[in-house]
Amino acid sequence: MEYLQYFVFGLVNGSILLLGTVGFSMIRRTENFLNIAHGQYMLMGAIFGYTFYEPLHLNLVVAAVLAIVATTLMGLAFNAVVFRPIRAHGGLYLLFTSVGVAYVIHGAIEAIYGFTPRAYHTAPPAQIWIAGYPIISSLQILIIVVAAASAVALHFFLTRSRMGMAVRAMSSDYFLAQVRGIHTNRVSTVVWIVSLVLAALAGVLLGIYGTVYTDMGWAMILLILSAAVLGGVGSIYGVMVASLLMGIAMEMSVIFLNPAYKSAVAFIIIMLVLVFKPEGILGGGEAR
Amino acid sequence: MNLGVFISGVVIVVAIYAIQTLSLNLKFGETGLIDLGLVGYFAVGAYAFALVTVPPPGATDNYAIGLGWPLWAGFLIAPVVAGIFSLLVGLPALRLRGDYLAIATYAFAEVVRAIFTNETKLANGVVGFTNLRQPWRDSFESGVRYQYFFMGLVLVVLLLLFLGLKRFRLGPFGRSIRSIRENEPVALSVGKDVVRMKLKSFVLGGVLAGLSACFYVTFQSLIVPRSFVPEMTWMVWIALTIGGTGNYLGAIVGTTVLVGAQEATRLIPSSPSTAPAIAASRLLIMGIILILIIRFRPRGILPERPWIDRSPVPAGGSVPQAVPSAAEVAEVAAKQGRSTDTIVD
Repeated sequence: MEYLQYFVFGLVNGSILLLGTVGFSMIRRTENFLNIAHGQYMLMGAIFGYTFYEPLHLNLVVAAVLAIVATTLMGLAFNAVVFRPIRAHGGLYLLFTSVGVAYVIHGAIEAIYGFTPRAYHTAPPAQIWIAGYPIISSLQILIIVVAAASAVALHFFLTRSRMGMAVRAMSSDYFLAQVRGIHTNRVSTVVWIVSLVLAALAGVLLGIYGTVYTDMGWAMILLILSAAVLGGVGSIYGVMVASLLMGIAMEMSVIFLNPAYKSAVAFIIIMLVLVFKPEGILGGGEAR
Repeated sequence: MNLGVFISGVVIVVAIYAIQTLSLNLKFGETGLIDLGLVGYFAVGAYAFALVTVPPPGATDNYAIGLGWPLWAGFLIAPVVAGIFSLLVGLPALRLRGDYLAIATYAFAEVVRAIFTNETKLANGVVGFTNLRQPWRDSFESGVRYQYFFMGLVLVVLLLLFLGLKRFRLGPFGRSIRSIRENEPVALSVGKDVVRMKLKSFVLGGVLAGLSACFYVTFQSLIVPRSFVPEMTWMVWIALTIGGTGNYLGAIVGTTVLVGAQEATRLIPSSPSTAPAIAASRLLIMGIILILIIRFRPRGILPERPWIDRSPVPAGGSVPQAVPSAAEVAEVAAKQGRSTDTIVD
């Protein structure tokens, strides 16, 4: 039964990770760079949500929506001012710029909020008990459902809508998409919005589920990078599966490993994947 | 605060980081390897140094090994250990390219930190080691004088490494690794052992990181796993990007600008209420400098200069414009009294 608990923890963490990693991978595919600032966008979502919920006493759902909107606007502003002007320089310059953005966000949030971890003081969620063990709480169910719903919605967006198809066209060949009359700038903005909304949502969920601490962004980006590699950096569905697996593997490792090694488990997995199967578990994208 | 002490302290930190930036310039600037695990080799070097030089564990200590050897042994062994660790990382990781190499090396460094943090037997866990010995400390009465001496020591080492690497750059090894960076298939097609060259550059970079770590540990006189966070890796990358990728002097200039700007914030008088904001401003400064440099001077303050062949043109002869024919090569070879294959090489 304890094992089932670990499994549930893993599934929940994996769900949150999924929301973060999917957006990261979409940016990787269409904008062609590793966005190191993605973890900080999650932190931003968490801290905005905290601000609207705790000091401003708004309803939790309203606070979450406002946090997502605010984070998305900030992210789009960074995109317009910082990323787009140097797009032509290529992926490596964008990667380092995103490191700069990550430090700006991290530094600004630490300067304003200080180092103290914050918590959303929500009512303790109802627990479902099986055989004397609290197996899953309503909050955990909510997180899993939100992640699953987002994944399904994203799937239909990418396969059924014109805009979604344009996104896929652009991610497989930027110039061909442009030649065929796709407004690459507009599509790129849509991808950024999707990615930012998911990141902020993940951040808010992380804040409600655990605590908001200022190093969260860096911790998350490491897991996101790992999950992205495990799933194949470009493939959206591979990445979804990989995030869940990664979350579960990390929590279940507690059974036979020192809990302090939880995140190291993620890195050991990706080291093995990179050495033995560098194209990721579900293939996809350019190998190596 | 004594300004001389402050400045010499900053110079020492700059020089220690600059050694790492030089090592990154060798790996990335020259060879084109995107290594995000710099802090890993540094940590391995630092701990190797500590374990070689700390006294054997007493009854109350948790760590298992302490050789208690003299400091010079630490300075010799730590870079070697860091180099061996680089080799172990490089053998599997260098098969990967671009983003994947970046992520793999990042992961290695995090695993290293997790091990040093949690394996108390190996490296005393989160407590680390304190009160480490410093070279020639006993010859100086005052701490201030010793700090000036230490500054001179680090600067001399930095200068030697700088000159050595500059020299290296012009030699066959330097030209080979740059050819790999520019166009790997071409390098391969002219018979360069690409894998071996990459590995050499990678391991040499690791050795330099280990050497830098020795100075770091002796200067701080303490070592805790908390120091070896990815932020250190990013610092070095940012310093190189600011200074100019591919230019060793740029690497030093970039480190000076970045570390100098950060350390300058220590001069701001702080109170307990403003201290967190000032600490956070160091991150902000780092981010803003990086963004601005990439935006307005993407090749850095001192961009890489293209390599120019300065060998004298023989009197009356002209610089060959196209690939010389076999006959021409043979003719030149005959003039210089060499066999043809050495010229083609």
